[in-house]
Amino acid sequence: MPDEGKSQWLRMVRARLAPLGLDGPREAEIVEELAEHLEEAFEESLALGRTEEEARADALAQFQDWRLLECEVSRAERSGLARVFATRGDVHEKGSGGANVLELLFKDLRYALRMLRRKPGFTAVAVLTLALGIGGNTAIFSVVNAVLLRALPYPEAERLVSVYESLPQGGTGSVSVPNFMDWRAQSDAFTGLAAYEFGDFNLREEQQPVRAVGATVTANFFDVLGATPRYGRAFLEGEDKAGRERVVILSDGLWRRSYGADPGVVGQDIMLGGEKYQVVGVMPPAVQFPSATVELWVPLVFNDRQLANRGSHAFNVLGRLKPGVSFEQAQEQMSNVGRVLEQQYPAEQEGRGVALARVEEELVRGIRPALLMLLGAVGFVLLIACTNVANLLLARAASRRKEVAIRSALGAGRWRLVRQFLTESIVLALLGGAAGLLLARWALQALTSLASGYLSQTGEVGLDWKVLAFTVGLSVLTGVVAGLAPAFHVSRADVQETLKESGNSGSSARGTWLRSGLAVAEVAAALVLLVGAGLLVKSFLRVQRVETGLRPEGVLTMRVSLPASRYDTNEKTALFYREVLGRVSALPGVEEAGVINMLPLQRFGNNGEIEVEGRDALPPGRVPLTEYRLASAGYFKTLGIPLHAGRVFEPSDEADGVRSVVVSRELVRVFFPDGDALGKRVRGGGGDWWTIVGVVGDVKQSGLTRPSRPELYFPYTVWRPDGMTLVVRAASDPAEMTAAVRREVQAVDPNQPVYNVGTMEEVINRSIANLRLNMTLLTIFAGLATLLAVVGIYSVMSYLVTQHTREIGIRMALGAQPVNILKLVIGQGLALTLVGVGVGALVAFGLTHLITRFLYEVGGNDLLTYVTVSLLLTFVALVACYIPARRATKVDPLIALRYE
Amino acid sequence: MDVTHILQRELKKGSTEMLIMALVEDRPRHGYEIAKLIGERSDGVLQFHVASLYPLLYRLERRGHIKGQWVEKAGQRRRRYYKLTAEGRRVLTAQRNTWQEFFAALDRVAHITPDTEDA
Repeated sequence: MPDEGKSQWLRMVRARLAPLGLDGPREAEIVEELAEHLEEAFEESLALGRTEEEARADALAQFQDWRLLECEVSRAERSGLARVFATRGDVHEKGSGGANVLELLFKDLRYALRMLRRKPGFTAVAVLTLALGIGGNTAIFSVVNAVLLRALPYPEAERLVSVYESLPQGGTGSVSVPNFMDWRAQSDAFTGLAAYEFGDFNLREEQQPVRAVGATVTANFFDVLGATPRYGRAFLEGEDKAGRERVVILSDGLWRRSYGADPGVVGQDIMLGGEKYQVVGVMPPAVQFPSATVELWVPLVFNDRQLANRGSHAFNVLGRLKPGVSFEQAQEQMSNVGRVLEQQYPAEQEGRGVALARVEEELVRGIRPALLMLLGAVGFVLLIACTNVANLLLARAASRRKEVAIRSALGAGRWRLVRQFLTESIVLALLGGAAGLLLARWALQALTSLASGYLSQTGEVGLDWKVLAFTVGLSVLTGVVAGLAPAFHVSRADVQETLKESGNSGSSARGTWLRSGLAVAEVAAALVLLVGAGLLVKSFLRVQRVETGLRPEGVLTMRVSLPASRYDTNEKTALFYREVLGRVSALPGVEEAGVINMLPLQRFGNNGEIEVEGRDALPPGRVPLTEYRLASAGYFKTLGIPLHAGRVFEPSDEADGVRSVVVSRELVRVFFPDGDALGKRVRGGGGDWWTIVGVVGDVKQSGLTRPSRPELYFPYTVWRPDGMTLVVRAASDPAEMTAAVRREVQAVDPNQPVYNVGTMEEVINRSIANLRLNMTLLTIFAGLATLLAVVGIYSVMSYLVTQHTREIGIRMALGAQPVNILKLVIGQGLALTLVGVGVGALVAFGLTHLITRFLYEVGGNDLLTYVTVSLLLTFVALVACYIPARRATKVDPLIALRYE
Repeated sequence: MDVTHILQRELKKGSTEMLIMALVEDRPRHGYEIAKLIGERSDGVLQFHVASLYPLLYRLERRGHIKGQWVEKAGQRRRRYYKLTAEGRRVLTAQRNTWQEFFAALDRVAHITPDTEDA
């Protein structure tokens, strides 16, 4: 069958000519013609009586030199090839203008895609690697974008400032009303100064009492902020005066949730804390000040006591700088105002000044360092990914040296080749970027659920055009970085030498060095991340072991706030809580119940300076602050706070005029160094003297990583609290008690909502959520980095083994045992790893100061962490080397020696 | 490499294009046939390897001196036949003239043609 014969020749010729990469139809034509020639020769020999084998040999004899044929055909087809490969610089196509550039770009792209399709394994690994790097970066950048970059939705938001009183102890604090009034009167740097305070309100929703987060604000608040209502109006001047304050502005969220997004709600009355308020406006969704959780605003009315008391600091102040007034000028002016007030009112104002802060910066202050750290970490991951891809491209470039040499011989310039390689790596990076974007979407979902508490005040986190632009930019940059080295490396290759070389060997010393260098860099970068993650993990373990001073297991907590309109005296509130405690304690499954006005581990506290009877008072600002709490007797037992001396409260302590307090051990240590505190009397702020009746254990009031402060517990009946938290110790799962406890609260007052429901363990976990999130993310990044670095080491070692197959074969032929070969290969891998670990350790040593603020009781240069992660990384790298090493021992000397 | 050898190589190089054009002057021929005819008609003195023949065909075709065309005759395989173009004919004539002048000159000086001895 002649056709069958010819198709054999076709296959053979096609295989030999493939490296030329001729254009499709033309290549087919040439292949067919050459095959035809072979078949003719073959048939002629057969006709002369030769055997088939002899005839085949005769035909092939005419094709002695395939290499020469390849070269000559290429040269003859030069102008044809030039159309595919060349730029305007290579051939003269002047005057063809911009369309030609596009056409060439298109051709470059098509060629790049063809090359990538030809090696699907390589392409998949490279794209996946890049996707991990780019995806991680996009996810973290999305958060950075939402939190740090997205401007506040107010006009000229950069002119918004918070104004605080600066404290003698350092730091800033809330503002007293007289000071606020004086600031307003004595400064002209602002278009306006507004005061506000957080306040919660009981609201009725579908016959159910609910808790709404609100803010009380001076009438000019929205003018200063620059917010305009979507419906209705903002507050009018004078609506913050007594008698005119029963008006409310709703947030978009509350308006939708409770009023069905009905614009007609403007003008209607709603019940707030048992009082009628008229809705005068609805704000658009973007207005979320002072916090993202705020649901309504009502006017702030200062009472006579507040107007008179310069020593009571309870309000926040927002200002808008006048156009042309800089932040520094305003700060300067307010400092002067502060100094005048200090001289005028030395008793209250000594050591106090005025401090400004930009609102934009303030909103992100807490989260900024962590985000920047994570961005840095994920940047390292991308760097490793790029290095890995560069390594892959290098290995591939080495196997394509002949292609480059031929194209170079055909007249393609160096820039031309570099451009082609860059196109390929950029296409690769864009593919990686696209995959990374998908990955980022998914990662962001995971991230936002993981970090819901952490990100709540920052609004929506999502992929937007900025993120997309960032990703695309990053992809292209990655492409350039990953592609540049191999492109230049290859384009420098010697054409003559390469063409003379046989087979696909040809790993130059320079290439090996470059690859090894990249592997070392990867290991180093991975080590840096591992050190960071190791330090955070160690810190986190330390934090988890911190003694909280309580037994949180089995404890349920929920918040209750009684509206001042109906519970206007401490007798009424005391009655309410007493009855609730009585009913809840009687519930089956409840072991103990109590109330406290502020749970431990809250960010906010209520504190002041105390005085011990019979001792000279220290000057203000020198006394360690003492935390004040209102508690019931059952609180201590419910939370498992141990009693060290004396007793906890008794019903008799709750009587009017009896002044008994319980103190913490830390208070005894600080104020009664001799240890004898029982029966002694203390007071705060120049008030009544209180007798210490008991000493209880310390608790962490403001966070696990912060030291316990001295603490003073008053009976909850002595003054009217803003709200109380009910704590209930259950015999079984505390969460299951929620409904029953809620029922008992509403049995006492059906209009009374409970909120912030959760177990004490949840409260503790929430307090370390940020730490946990940082640790989790950094650990994920470090794991990713390690994985990528190990893949890098593996690919370098595999490549080296393949390149040195012949050398290994010779060694084995000369009597080397497999174990020697194993040692040789693993030794080389180990050397690379150790250099990388050494470099990484040095870099980490230089960088850890960036994360010390996230560490707890662990030094940034913790030796154990360094040693542990170094050993871990070395071990994993050795495993990665073992696979190619074993393959090397399987080399058959005979095959290796023939290997070309 | 001696001088004769070099001369042979250079002569071959300069003349092959003309040889190929001459062979497809009268009728179209395919590559194998061309290679075979050159060998036969030169009594084996001029041997063409595939590696030089086909690239030369492609070059000539690209220059427009010859034109290749796939032809499928009944009972035969598809073959690519080359024929001389008008432009090729002009070039061939010119080359023939040049070679004739060249040989005449060589002969006058070096007496390379046997039958001119007794002239």
